[in-house]
Amino acid sequence: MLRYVWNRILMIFVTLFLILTINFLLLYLMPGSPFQNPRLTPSQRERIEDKYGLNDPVLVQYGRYMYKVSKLDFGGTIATNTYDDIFEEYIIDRLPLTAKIGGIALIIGTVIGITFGALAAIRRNSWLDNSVTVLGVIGVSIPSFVFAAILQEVFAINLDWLPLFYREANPDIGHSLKDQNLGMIMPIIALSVLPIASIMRYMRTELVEVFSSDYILLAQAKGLSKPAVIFKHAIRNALIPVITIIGPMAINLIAGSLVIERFFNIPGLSNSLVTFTLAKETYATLAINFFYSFMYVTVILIVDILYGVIDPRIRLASNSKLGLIGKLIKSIKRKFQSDNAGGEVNE
Amino acid sequence: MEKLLEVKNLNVTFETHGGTVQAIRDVSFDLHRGETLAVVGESGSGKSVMTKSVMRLLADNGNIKHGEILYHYEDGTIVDIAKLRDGEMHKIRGAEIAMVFQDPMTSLNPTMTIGKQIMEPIMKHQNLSKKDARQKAIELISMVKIDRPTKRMKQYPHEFSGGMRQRIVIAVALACNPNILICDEPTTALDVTIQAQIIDLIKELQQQTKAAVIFITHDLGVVANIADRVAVMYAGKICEIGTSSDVFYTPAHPYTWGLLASKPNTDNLGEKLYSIPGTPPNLLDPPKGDAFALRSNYALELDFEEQPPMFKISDTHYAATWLLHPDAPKVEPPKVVQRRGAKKGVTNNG
Repeated sequence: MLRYVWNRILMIFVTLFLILTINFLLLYLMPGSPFQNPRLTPSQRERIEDKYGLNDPVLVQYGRYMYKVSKLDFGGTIATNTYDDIFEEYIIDRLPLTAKIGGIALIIGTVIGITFGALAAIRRNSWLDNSVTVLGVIGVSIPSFVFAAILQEVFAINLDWLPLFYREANPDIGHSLKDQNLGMIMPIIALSVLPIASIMRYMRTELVEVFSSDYILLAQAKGLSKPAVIFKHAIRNALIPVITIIGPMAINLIAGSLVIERFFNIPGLSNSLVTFTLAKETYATLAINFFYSFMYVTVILIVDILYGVIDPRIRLASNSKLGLIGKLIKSIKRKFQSDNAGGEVNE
Repeated sequence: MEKLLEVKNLNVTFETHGGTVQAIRDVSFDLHRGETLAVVGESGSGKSVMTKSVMRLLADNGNIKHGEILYHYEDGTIVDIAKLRDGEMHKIRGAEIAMVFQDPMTSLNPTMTIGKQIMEPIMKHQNLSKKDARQKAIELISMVKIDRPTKRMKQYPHEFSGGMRQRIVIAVALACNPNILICDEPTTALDVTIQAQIIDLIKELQQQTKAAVIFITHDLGVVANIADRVAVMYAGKICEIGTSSDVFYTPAHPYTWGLLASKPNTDNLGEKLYSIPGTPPNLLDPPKGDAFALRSNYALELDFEEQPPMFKISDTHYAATWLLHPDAPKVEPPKVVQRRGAKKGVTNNG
């Protein structure tokens, strides 16, 4: 198990390296320049670009960039000089809003998705089940920005219940905290449509399958009541596969937020990614890209480990009394001991 | 002997897209305290459906159309399981009638410890404290002959082999000392050496607990080993029922003849093994007469026209075939069956 985790962490580094390389080359191939002021003459622009090393051969630029990244320096913005260190000054600042909106959307999606998916499976072939199926298909097949547009049209323009755009609270120009929170409602709803629909469909399928399994029959044969059978035996087993899709779902939300943040004018990280890309701010784009990729691989690793917590079949075999952390520490200790002793210890 | 279960004219149907499947057609039988009744028949003959009806564990599209399933409580009260409310049924399942299923690899909850799964019915039916239920569960694990029961309590099903899992399922079934234990092909999914162990275990525990056992199987060797009485099912009906020796040595129904003749044993050594021709009828549209007539070498014209009633052969032995009618032509059962009967020293006068 521990060896597996080590291997996975090693693979994470390889993955991130490849992502950075490919993205760097793609951005290099993209035409344009960070210096887009129309008053600059071509020769002036070339001189500034030279100064920043943007006209060096690609391998030199790539090598220089990777060397800096290896020292955890991701660079800053080129044209405006506003940010020397994009991570410290920018990402940390913008992340909370994106994480907040995405996190709430994910929680809503999980709770509603699991609840209605389970209800549909319990009342199979009822009107509820049929509507869950239909709504699920609609939810996964229509992109979130279409929902965003519909929401804006209905609730902001026609009904005027909610603000059309997100506005940060700023008492000086008359924007209260309430305005800010109201402005988050529509983006959250638009973002949560996909997780609701996917988790709902998945949960229904899993639970229907669990209901038809032999151990549910045995639980019924014990004389357990219907709620006891559902809650003690069925739900937990159906949740195991559902949890595996929540991780990738969180990542899908990042992709969704790229469009949604732009739609509602939210000053979040995803919105900046689009802005920086269009401005050909290579380092800033790569930094945000790197951050998202890092999140992606970490979440998947965490979900895989979490899987073992819920499913005893995947759990570490020894010492079931220790928690997962305890087990990890113990295996690390054992690893060191065996390394020092120079002998091989089977885990 | 004291009656425990009376099934009278049971009819069970399943609604499917293709129409109504008549899975159980007019089945009646009794079960007495402490006896073992084996139910044999080929796949699809309705064995499992019959026992699931007794437990009221039919799938959602299955219905008990009519008939009675009378359960006799120890204090003499009689209830009709077919008409019981769900709440009452929960009190019977696990406590009065318990069940062991076919595939032990899938019949235990993979995410719950063995101990918890055994304690569940104990706590549900016997109002014991958690501590007492634990103690009882540990006793049950050692009763089904698994060592280190205290340690086993904390383990999960995946840490057990198939045979051990089936022992655990048996422990769950016996947790509340049920009066009836239904074993639905409990050895089919196990390998042969383990099969024998499980059958011995069931026999031994039955003697200890004095429970009546309904044992479903399609392995005639197992039947001879375990059963007091045998019911032969075909196409949703019981075509012959009697004591083990009635059915094995003086069978009366052509289907039973076919079953016995198609089993290799010392009586048909060196001969080409018999197999019953054709396939079972489609129960979406069951035949008008005897369901086995189409595949039978002994079918009379009447067999295609009218359903044969249960003819009484002796106090214990009944069979549903027109051959037993006084006016029926005298036919000889196949040689293998005759030889078998001769061994027992009884002639087949059916």
